Amino acid sequence: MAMIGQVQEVPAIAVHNLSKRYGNRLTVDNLNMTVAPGKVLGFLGPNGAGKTTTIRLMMGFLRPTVGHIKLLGYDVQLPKEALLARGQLGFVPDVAGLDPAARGLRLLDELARLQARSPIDREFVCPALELDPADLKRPIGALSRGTRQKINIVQGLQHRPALLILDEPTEGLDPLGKQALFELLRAARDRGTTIFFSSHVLSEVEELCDHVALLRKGCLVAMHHLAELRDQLYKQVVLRLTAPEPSTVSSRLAGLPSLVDLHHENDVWHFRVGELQPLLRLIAALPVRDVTIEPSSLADIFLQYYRSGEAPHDQ
Amino acid sequence: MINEIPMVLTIACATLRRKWISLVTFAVGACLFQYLLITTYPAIGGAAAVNSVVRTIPPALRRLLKIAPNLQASFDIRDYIALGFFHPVFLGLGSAFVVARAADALAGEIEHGAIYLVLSRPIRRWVLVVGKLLEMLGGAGIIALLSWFGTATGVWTDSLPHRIPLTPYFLIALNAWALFGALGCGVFVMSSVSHRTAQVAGLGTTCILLAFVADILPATSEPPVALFNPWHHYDPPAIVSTGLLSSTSIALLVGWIIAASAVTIGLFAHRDLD
Repeated sequence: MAMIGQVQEVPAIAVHNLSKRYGNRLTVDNLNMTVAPGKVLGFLGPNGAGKTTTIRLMMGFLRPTVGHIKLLGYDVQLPKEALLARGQLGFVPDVAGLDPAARGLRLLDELARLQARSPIDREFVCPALELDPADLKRPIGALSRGTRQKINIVQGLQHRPALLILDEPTEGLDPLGKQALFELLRAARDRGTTIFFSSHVLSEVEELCDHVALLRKGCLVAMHHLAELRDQLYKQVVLRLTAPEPSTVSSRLAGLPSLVDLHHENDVWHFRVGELQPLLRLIAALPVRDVTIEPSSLADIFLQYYRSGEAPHDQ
Repeated sequence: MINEIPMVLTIACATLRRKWISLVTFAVGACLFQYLLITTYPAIGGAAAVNSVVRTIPPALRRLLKIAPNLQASFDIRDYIALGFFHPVFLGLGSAFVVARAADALAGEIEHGAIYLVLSRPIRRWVLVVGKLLEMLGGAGIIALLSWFGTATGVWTDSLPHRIPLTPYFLIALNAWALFGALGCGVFVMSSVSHRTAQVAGLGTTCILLAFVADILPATSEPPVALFNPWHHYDPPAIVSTGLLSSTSIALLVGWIIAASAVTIGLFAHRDLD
């Protein structure tokens, strides 16, 4: 079971053996994950990986073929418990489908009434997102895509939920809007809100989340603290030698475990390596002029997982 | 369940608030149609002209218009006004309203994604269905009521040859309300299992037309088959001639509404929303 945080109290999200099948197609395949309260999880995957299906299963919009989901300790497949869970939930869907005839302010009021919770945070969420009060009084159909998305975000955050589930929330936002959203999410995290942030934009997840879950073809391929994930994965190495003998250096480097993409131009050697200790021992024995070791970015990690379909250490 | 009534009303009112322009358009259209039908009665030649036209109507078409053969001799202004409630314009307006509302209520909300905002709240799915049903039934009621109001205005303002009692037309409007409600609830069943508005609207319209035709065909226009057809329980000429609204007809139409609503709630509660 993939797990983030010390789950000593009731987990904010607990998914057990979750699968969803459409005919012969398995969209979500035996998903297991647990998220402790107060954590920010980036839910990553390429298009069609099953992110939105997983979220819809969590929200109770879809029924699992097999498996169980508990949000905030409540089983979402039991109607009474699902109501209790949704009472403390904030959800920002990818396609909000805001009615063009509705006016933003009235829509937010209606949704707050259905939530049965006061929209206590609307007063600071709207200004933080630079949502013009005049725009909230206009029909949604007359608003820009970015403004509509801001209203979508406000409806998810306005009642100060204990668990916030966001599906591609930055779609349509400009860079300022994205930064404002991230600041709001950080503030929510600091208050103890658990955040489940689904995205395919790696830089956003890297900026906001402390943990990531990688989904591929409906399967969870990794779930780690971002730093741990980087440690586990390849580092980019650039090695400059003073008096290289290409054949000797090549053969010695090739002897390193988990080394890939080795190539050189004159006295500069480029490669990626998974384990650092053997490399450091080798460098000590080489005539090194300069060495650069960079951790993988999330984009590198993403590509390493999805290009081959396996974690690098399994290669 | 009582605790959830405010949620039902919130959904019904929110839907009505967003769609009131289309409701007003349908209702005013139906009202104007009934009003104009009466005010043009003298212009088309009064009772003599109408009777001569009715005599030329072949039996099959008379059946379509629910004009009984024995009414032909005494077809007067009262029957003419009743025919306004069986006119394709009026029936088309009412049917189009309920088809549009029912198709958009569930399938449309899923298609546009709006349903995810509502159902991420702590409400049960039946609350959404009942809220949408209430809005549709209320809208159909307003259309029927304004149709009667158009009739009444025409009767009050026009110099007609007879004193026309308005009560039978109020009963016809009630009958029309129940008919539109039953038709709309039938389309709600389709909407509860689809996520395509156009598909539901097309299928719903087709089914309504087929049911209308089935109520004319000899093989399907008699009980027991006809008992399950909402059109069979809508008969404006009979209400005018008897001055009564059949309690059986109303009971069957209300029964249809309740049964279709229950089926909709059951299907919608167990489906995947994608």
